[in-house]
Amino acid sequence: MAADLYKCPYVPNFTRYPEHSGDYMKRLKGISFPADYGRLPSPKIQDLPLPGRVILPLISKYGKMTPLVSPGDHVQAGQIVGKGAEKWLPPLLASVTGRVSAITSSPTCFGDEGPALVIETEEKGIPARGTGILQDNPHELARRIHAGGIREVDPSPLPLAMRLRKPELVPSAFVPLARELEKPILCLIINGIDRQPGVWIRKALIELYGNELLESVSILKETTGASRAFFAVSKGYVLTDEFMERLREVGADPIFCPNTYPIALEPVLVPFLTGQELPPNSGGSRAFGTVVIDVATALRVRDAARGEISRLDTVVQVTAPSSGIDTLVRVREGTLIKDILEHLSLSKMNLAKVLCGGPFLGIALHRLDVPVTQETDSIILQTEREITRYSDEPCMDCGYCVRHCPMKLLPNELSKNCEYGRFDAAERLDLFFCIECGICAYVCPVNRPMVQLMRFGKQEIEAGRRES
Amino acid sequence: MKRPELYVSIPPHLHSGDSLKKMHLETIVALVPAIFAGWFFFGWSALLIIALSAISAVLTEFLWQKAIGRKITIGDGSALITGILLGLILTSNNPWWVPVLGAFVAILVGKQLFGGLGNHSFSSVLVGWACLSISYKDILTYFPMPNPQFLLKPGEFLSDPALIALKDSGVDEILDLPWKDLFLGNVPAEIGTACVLAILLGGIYLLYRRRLTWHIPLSFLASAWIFGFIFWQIDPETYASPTFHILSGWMFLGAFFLATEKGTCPVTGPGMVLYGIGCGVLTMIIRTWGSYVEGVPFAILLMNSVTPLLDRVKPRTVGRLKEIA
Repeated sequence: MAADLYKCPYVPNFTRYPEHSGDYMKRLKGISFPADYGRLPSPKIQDLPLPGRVILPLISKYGKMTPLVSPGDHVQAGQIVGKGAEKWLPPLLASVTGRVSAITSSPTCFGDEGPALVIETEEKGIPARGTGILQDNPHELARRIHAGGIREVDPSPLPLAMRLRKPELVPSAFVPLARELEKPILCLIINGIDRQPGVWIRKALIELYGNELLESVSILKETTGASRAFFAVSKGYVLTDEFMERLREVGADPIFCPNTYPIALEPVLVPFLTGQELPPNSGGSRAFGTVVIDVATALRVRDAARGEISRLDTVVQVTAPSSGIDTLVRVREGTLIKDILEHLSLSKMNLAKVLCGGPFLGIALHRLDVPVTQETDSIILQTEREITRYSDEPCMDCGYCVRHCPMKLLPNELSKNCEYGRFDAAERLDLFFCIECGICAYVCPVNRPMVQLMRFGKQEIEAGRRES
Repeated sequence: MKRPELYVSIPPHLHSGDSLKKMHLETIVALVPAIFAGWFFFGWSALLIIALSAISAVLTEFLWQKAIGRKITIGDGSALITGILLGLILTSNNPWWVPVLGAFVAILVGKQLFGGLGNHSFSSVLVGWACLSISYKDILTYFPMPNPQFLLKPGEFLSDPALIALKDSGVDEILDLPWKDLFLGNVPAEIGTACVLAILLGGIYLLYRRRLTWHIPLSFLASAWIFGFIFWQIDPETYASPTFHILSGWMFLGAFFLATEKGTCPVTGPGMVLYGIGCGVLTMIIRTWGSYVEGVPFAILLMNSVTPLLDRVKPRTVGRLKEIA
C-alpha cells in the first residue's frame, strides 16, 4: 500500500516471497521498498579487458597518500605504490603491471580531487590468481589484511584493518590514536544488504561467492574475536538451506532485515540488530564493540588473508535505465568510467548525469575520466528526462519527512532553519545526527531540497568552527 | 563558454514523484462520499452551495495571486479543498452569497494574507466559517430537514440538529434518537457533517493511502469519548452519552478533515496525539458548558494556535543517548 506511493523507478514490480523470520523485527522508520529478487538482473559478472592506462588517486577518505614511485618507474601488479599519512591507513597497490607515466591531478569517484598516479599498462590479458594458503595465525592474518590495501564503500572513522582487530592484535603504538580499539569486539555484522534501492551488487556477490564468503566469515571471526556474528540480508532474499547451515557452522547467524531504506547504513543497521544507538562523532560502531563489514569488503579480506594480492580489480554495477543496461562489470582498479562506458557501448548514449555510488547516496560526477576505485560500488547513468529537479517552494509542514526520518529528526524544521541561515537553531534540533540518507527529499511533496539544505547547514557550521 | 556536459547536484538524485497535486487529489477523492451524502439528504441545492464555495475559493486565490504578482498555485488543488470543505459545513438553504463570502474570507484572510500554503497557522476553512458564523448567526442556524433521495425515509425524530435539541431540551429529548439516523446523517444538519458513514469512508481511504496517520483522528475521537463517558457515568440524567456526542455534529469531519489541515497541525507523533486530545477535550467542554452549540470548530482553532508548541514535543533522536549523570 505504501509501496506504490513511493515507487522507486529502479526497482521493478512487487512480488511476494515467503517471509523468513528474524528475532529482531521491530518497527523501523524509513521507506519500504518492494522486494523483487525474482527479477534481479542476472548476477553474472562481465570481465572487461585491461585498460590501456589506469589512474590511481593518491587520495582516500582518510586523506592524502605519499607516492612511493616516481614517473618512469616500472611497477608490478600488487606492488605497494603509495602509503598513507599514518601507518595504520591502507596502502595503495598498483592494480596493473606497467610504467608510471605521470603524477597528475584527477577527480575521484567520491567527489574529491587530488594527485593521482597514471600507469600505462604493459601486461596482456588477465593473470591467473594465486592460491595462497590460509593462515591461522591471527597476527599474520591481521598483517596481511592491512597490507591488502582494502578501502571500503561505507564511510567509517576507523580504517578496516584496524577496526577488525581484537584488542590483543592492535599494535600498542596505535592505541593512543584511537582509544576505542582497546574495547573488545562483541558483535560482527556481515552486511549483505544493498546500500540503497536500485543497487543490487551485494545480493549478486552473495549468490556468486557464497563459499568465499563463508571462508571470510571464519577469518573475520578469528581476527575480531567476536562472540556473535550476524550475516544480514534483506527479507525475502532466498538463502539456500545449505548456505544457512554452513553459515551457522562457521558461527554466524543469518538475519533477515526488512526491505526498508536505509537499513543497510551503519547508524541504522547497528541499532536495529544490536540495540546500540550510535551518536555522531563517537568513533562509529567499533567504539561500541561492533564491527560492520559489507560483503564486497569481506571478499577482499578473504583474498588478502589467503596471501593473494588483494583483489586488484573491483566489481561495479553499471545501470542505465534508459538503455536497459543493468549489469555487473569487473574492472581493474583505476579504470576510467569513460572506458567502461565505451566497452558497454554506452558512450553514444544521451548522457546527462553520472551518479557514482547510487541514486540516494552517490555523487554526480562532472566528467567521465574518473577512475573507478574500491570506494564505489555502482555507476548509474541518467538521461536528461530522468533527472530529478528540486524546487524552492516553501515548506507546508505536511510532516511526511518527519514520519519517514530514520533518525527521528524534524527535517522540516531543520531544512527551514538551514535555508534561513539559523544554523544555531538547526544544531539545537540535532542537525548533526542526520545521516544524509536523503529520504526527506525523496518523499517531499513540494520537492524541497531537504537533505541538500541540511548538508549546507552542516558545512556552514563546520566552516564557522574552523575559522574561530 | 562551453556548456558543461554533465549535470552536477547533491544527492539524492531521485524523487518519489509525489506532489501537492496528487496529495490534494486524494483528499478530494476522500471527500466524494461526504459530497454524495450531502446530495442524498439535502438535494441539488447542497451541491450548488459546495460548487459556489469551491469556485469562489479558487477564484479568490487566482485573483489575489495575480494582483500581487505571485506564482499562481490554484493548480495544486488546495484552494479547491478549502472551498469544498467550507461548502460541507454550511447548510443547503443558505443564500448564494454566504458560501461566496465565506470562501473569500477563508482564502484571503485564512491563507493568502499569511503568505499562502504552509504559512497559515489557522485552519483556513474554519477562519472562513468563523467569520460567517459570528457575522450571520441567524442565517447559519436555520437547518433544513433531511429528505433522502431514495431508499431511506426522512428522519423526523428531531426538527433541530441533535446538539441543539440536547442544548435546548436536555438529555430526554435525544434519548430515543435512533442510532441509525445519527450514523447515516438522517437528521437536520449541515451538508456534509452529519453522515458519519461517508466521512468515515473518506477518512479510511486517506489512512489507507497514508495521507493521514491515525494519531489525530483517533486521539480526537477517543479523548472526546472518554471525557464524555466520565460525565455520563457521573450523571446520565444531565449529560448525554459519549457515543451520542461522537456521532453527532462535526465530530468526525473535524477529526478526519478539519483538524488535520496540513500546516496547521503538529507533525511529530506525540505532538499529534496531544493535539488530538486537546481538540477532543475542548470540544466536549464547549459543547457541555459553553454558549456555542458545536464545539469542534473553536476547539480546532484554539488548538491550531498551540501547534508550534506541540511541535516541540518530539521523540528522542536516534543516537542521542541518555546523559549519564
